[in-house]
Amino acid sequence: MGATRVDKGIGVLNAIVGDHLDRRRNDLAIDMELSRGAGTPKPKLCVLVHGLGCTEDVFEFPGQKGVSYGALLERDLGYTPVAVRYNTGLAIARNGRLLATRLDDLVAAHPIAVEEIALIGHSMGGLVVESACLLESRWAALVRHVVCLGTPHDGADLEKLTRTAADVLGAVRSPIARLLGNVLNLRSRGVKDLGLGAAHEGAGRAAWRATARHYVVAGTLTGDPGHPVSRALGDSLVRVPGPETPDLRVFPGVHHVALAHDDRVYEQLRAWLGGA
Amino acid sequence: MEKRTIRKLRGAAELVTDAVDAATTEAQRAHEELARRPYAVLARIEPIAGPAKAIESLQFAITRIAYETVRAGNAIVGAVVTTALDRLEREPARPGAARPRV
Repeated sequence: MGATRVDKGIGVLNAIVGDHLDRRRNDLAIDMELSRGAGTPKPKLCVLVHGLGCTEDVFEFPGQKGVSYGALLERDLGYTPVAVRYNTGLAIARNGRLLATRLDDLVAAHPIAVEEIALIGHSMGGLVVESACLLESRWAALVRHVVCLGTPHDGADLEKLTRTAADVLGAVRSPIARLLGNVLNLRSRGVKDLGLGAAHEGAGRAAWRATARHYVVAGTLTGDPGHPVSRALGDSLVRVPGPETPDLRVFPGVHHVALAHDDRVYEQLRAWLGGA
Repeated sequence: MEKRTIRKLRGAAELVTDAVDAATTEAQRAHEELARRPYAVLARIEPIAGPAKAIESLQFAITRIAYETVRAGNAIVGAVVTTALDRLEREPARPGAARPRV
């Protein structure tokens, strides 16, 4: 696909008021689109789902045109990368349903039989991926790996704070405070769902598919994960969900957005998806 | 101009229209709520309660007309821009029309 500067701006706009744009059938609303890499089609697909307000370009390494997790997994492990672009302002469950439908179409149209699917979601993308996994689709049995990069399973603190601020302002008996509260409440359904994390409407533990390994990647702001700043803020938006395990890796000094394009994170992805 | 660009421009125009409309409604709500406060005090003072009520009605009527004018103007501007972009979209693309002359 390749996002232009305008596309990136529209991505941000969709994050803020995407549900409104969709309701009004505005031409700026992004219709979910999946695009397969241009290389020779392979029987393994890796589907990369970006987070709030981003485009598929978030997975590209800064200053290295064409180098992304998808491109590297194609080179190293023979996956056909699939980029997803979608309206991040919509409810997560709705994006999950859309992803499930689009994946059905993609697998059916793939020139050769698909044998394996790896789903990689960054931030909100992880919740969208899990939501799609809840649905019984033809492709679901092919999923072998689900990787969540900086995904707020326990809810995003910033959104929780915004919700509290909006509630407080709405309760104050002042028209100006109520006005500010109403402005805060204009944020999209997608943003509001982030505050609920894995508890958003339509979510469920069934997302942890029996046929697939489920991995979690977390980052921290400082080089020491035990540092008070890292403990309080995690990767700046999402806190570390728990102690490291073979399926939960913490990358100190890698902030939230950088989790989508980091050498060390890629090496971990390669190890997991390569079966090491 | 590319049809995709025209559609984006139309979307942007519609969004601006929606935003102005929503902002006008919110501003009117806050304005009326604030303006009602002194009249609520005056309404408790018996000799001036009647005239105050009349002035309040007049002020609110004028205020509503002002906000409705803003909303109507916004709707007209939005409709004109959308119509112009619709016409532009229907026009067949002229090959080489955008190329500069050498």
